[in-house]
Amino acid sequence: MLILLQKIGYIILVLGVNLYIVSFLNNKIVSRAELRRGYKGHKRGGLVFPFSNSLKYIAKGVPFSIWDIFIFVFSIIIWAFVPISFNLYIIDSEHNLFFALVLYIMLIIFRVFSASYSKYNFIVSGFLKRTAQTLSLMIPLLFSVLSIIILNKSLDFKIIVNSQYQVWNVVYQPIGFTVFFISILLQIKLMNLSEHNQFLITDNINKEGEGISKLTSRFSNYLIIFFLISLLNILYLGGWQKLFMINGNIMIAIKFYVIFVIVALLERSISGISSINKLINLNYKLLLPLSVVNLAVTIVFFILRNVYSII
Amino acid sequence: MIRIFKNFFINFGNLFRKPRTVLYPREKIIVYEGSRGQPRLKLNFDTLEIICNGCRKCEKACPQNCISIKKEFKDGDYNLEEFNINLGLCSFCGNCVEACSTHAIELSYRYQMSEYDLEALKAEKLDLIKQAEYLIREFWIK
Repeated sequence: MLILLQKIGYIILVLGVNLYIVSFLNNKIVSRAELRRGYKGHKRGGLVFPFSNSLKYIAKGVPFSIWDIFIFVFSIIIWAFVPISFNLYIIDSEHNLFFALVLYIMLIIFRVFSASYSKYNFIVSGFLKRTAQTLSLMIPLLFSVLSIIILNKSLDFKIIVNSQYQVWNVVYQPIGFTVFFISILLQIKLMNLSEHNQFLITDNINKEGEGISKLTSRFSNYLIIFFLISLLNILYLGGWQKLFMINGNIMIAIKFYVIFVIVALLERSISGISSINKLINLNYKLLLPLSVVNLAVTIVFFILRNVYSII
Repeated sequence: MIRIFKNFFINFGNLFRKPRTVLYPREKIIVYEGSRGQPRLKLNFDTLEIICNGCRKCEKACPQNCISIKKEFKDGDYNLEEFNINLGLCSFCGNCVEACSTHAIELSYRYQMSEYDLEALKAEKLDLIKQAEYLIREFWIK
């Protein structure tokens, strides 16, 4: 019991520290990409600014729905299944990947409910479009994950990571990796990481009112982004496997931040994709066929290796 | 696709470039050459007298009517008695500089003129002469 509480404490601590670093880093990246300073010219480089920014939301009395609480709680519960490092997880199951994905899809559906609580119709319609798009982006992602499951013959994160001790899965599944990466990039774009006003984001639920509702939705958005990046890290990039002499825990952190910086910069770079229709085209004309081809090739290799023992 | 990569590398390069934002009281912008700031009356370096003869062409050319000139007849010639510019009204259009036939007025680079009192923005002849240091673009570095 004590170990469990200790683990929960560690996970919350790691998530909290990550939230702080990532929100600071994101602000800096977004502003420096525009040749601004970010967090203005605050004393000590604006290091305290993420805290004061969150306090600003708490101070405002805006009513929020029960779904916001659900989203927040579920975005934390998801970390019970996803291991942050090789022993930092709570539920040790053989089907962790399955549970994590189910929880993620539930989170997206909760966001629909949260939007429907709004009294403004334009927010609901726009938000539903975006959420439906996020769900449709899940299809190529799930196909890619299926390929990984077939490759590693397991739904357990630990087995998937341990099977990458020599070669990372990205070498075996370059197309799957590309599809997965583009899919999570577009999902993160729909979550409005850079808070950049574009066509997709103009009818945003976050515009409705600033308060604790916005704070929780921003927190849960960040946690979902962590989840997606961690998933990419674990499934394709070796997770906590050692690289040369570098410790696994340090390695997973380095990979996480490198991916985050690339995603944050790319999210700003794909401003050309500014309408839902373009996203739908990209999803159904590029990502979905690619992921299906990847899955088919993986299945063929699986059959050749395991049934006929050719390879 | 190429555009996305191009944008990515531009954004990535921007991370290492100096930000354009200026923290105003601590840092100041070096204004561009030819920027228009507070008007200034020129002196004749030989005689150290004001070049302006009070012909009132600038007064007529001023769209904001912020220039007021007074002349007096002395020793058989007109002399400049008063030359006032209300900088609270001035739009720094430079019409007075263009209208002046003796090239007695020029615009300095001084742009920081905020005051608590509007009366302090009314510049007289002597104030307008004492603007020589503002002819340098980095006038705050002395």
